[in-house]
Amino acid sequence: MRIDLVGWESEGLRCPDVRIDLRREGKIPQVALIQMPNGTGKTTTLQLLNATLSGAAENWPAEKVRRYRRKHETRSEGRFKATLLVDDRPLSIELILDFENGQTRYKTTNPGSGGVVPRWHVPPAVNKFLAPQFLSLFIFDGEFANDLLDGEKAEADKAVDALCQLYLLEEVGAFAQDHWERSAKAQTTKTSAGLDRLVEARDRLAQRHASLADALAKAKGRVGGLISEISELQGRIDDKLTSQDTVRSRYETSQRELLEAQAEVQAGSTALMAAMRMPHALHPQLGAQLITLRDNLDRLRLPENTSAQFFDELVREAECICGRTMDAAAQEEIQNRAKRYLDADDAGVINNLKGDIERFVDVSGEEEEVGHADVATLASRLGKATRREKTAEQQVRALKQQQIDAGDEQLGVWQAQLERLEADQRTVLALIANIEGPGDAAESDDTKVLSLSLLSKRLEEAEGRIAEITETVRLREQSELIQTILSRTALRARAQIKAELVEDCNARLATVLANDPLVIEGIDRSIRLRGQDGASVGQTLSVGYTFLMSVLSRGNNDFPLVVDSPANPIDRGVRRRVAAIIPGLCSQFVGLTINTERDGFVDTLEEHAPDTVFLTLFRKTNGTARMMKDLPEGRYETTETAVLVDDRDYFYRFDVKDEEEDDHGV
Amino acid sequence: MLDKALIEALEAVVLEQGQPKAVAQRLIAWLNQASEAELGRDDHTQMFNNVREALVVGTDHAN
Repeated sequence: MRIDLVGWESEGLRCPDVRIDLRREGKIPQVALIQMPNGTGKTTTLQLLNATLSGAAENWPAEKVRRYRRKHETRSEGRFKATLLVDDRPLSIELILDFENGQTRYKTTNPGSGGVVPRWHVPPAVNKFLAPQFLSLFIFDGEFANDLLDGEKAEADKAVDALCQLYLLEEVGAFAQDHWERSAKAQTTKTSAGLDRLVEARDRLAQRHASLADALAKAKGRVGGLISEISELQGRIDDKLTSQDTVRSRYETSQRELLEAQAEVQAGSTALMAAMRMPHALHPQLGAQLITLRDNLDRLRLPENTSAQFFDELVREAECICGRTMDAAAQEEIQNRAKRYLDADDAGVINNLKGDIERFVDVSGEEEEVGHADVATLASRLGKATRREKTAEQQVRALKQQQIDAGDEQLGVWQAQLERLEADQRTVLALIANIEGPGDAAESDDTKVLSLSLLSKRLEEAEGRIAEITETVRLREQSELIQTILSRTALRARAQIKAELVEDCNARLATVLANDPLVIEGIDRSIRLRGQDGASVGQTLSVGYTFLMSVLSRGNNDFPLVVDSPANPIDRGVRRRVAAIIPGLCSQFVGLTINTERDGFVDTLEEHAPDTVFLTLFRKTNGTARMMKDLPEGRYETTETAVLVDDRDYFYRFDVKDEEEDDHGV
Repeated sequence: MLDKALIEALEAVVLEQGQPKAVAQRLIAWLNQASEAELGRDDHTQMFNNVREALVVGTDHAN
């Protein structure tokens, strides 16, 4: 891919209002120099060029946006537009800074695909080259080359990472890590060891569940056996007692009485339980309290999800439910007021509760008393039946004891055996009741839980948790593996690309520094030179520019190199050597220079790039007013704030005094 | 288009880690997408899940 910088326009910003077009007769010159005295906005121009091309200003804070507003500027907006040629197809991006609201917006013009788009939108193929990391490589100040060789900085590594797009490996790896962290946030167990502990606990639960189920089956079998044994033994005792004339009649009567009393207790219990289901019948005060509760619940509320439709349909009816005509005013009023009556879903439950209280509780005082009297009568009746049952049991027991005391040893043995069996039966029935019951949910020790249903519930929960954690642990393993692959890939790719770049740079350096041999030993954060600890300014710039252009041209890509003050810090001799190599290193060089860089740098550059464009830009101020008289006829343009002169001779003779530089009105 | 050296390195590392070739292919697809456009969380999640499906980890063996 080849990217050329066609030019830029600025308006209402800290840098002067100007339109720079670098083309000459439709072609992009290899070298363009824009002479801008100090204070003309070189740094601002490059910052805006970077922000415009990268789209980075989208997230600028308001104060940063307003920082680009020119002093005393009344316009509410500033604009910076950069135009590129991407493989000879134009692409313009405009950054608009809204100073009033402290916001930015973009406009992209891409005649080849989609025309004008009201946002930063560049073709996917160009996207990566306009990323901020990448742009900083070809829009930079002259000192960037020094940084590339500075062992304390890692600019060379950063350049390689940007070129190879190794930052993508980091970006994707960071997403994997972030995704895992978010997914596992709610999980307390995240490791394989933790999962193993859960599986062991689940297995113990399953084992206990199985042994309890087994115990239940055995207990039920045992109950069956006990019933037979008790029945058989009871039969023998009955036969024995009824075979004796002296006690037969009394025994039969007592047994009958016991059976009747037991039936009465059963019936009384059932009736009382049914009556107690009406809480207001338990005590007269309970009914009064329920009515108070009803009166304090929300009034006139409907569940929104089921009732909103009612109001929607009502307003479409000819008449309201009150019988009045449904006119526009009524429709509007109903729609507005409907919101007052609509509530969450539990409004339906509350309405049901209120309805039940009204139906069952809110009755006359007399009826309320009747309900309570019924419960009291039933409770009294049950008490009597219980006492009757107890008396009957005592009579039966007394008859048996009487016979045993009279010397019936066999009966004594059977009775003792019967009592043991009945005790066993009670124990086994209690065990069954525990196993089949709901259990104590508060019991945290699973080995003490007897309820099968509670164990089943805990087993199910454990299975669910294990499934969930298995997925979490798997996700962790996968995330870690992805990150390992990506980080090792970065190391390997970086080493390979550095080796290739060193080879490429050395081949270029052998040509451009033929009389001043210099070899790059390696790239380790910064560029390391073979056989020398440091380098002269000229060597540094030569190596830096060579490295940068090797990086930028990797993959057959050609990019412009836009530099602020490219030769400012170097002496005349070095300037000449650097200027001589620049045209051979890049397809387009754009330098924002000051007049002191002309000597040695600009003239040499012109020798090696005959189509060099010379532009001079200065602000219109009281201090520069004298310059307006000396402008070349037909070779300049003026705006409200600046003068742009497109003339080689003017470029060379342009000079400013200190006071003119200071009076830049920024 | 990703750098050739990056693709080669990724393929080699995936092989070293004993992972199927599909892992490298899906990671390259993810990186390509990330290089060509700004991916949102949903896009990243989709690409991440694609890679996950191809990975073979310890938990898979245990299961």
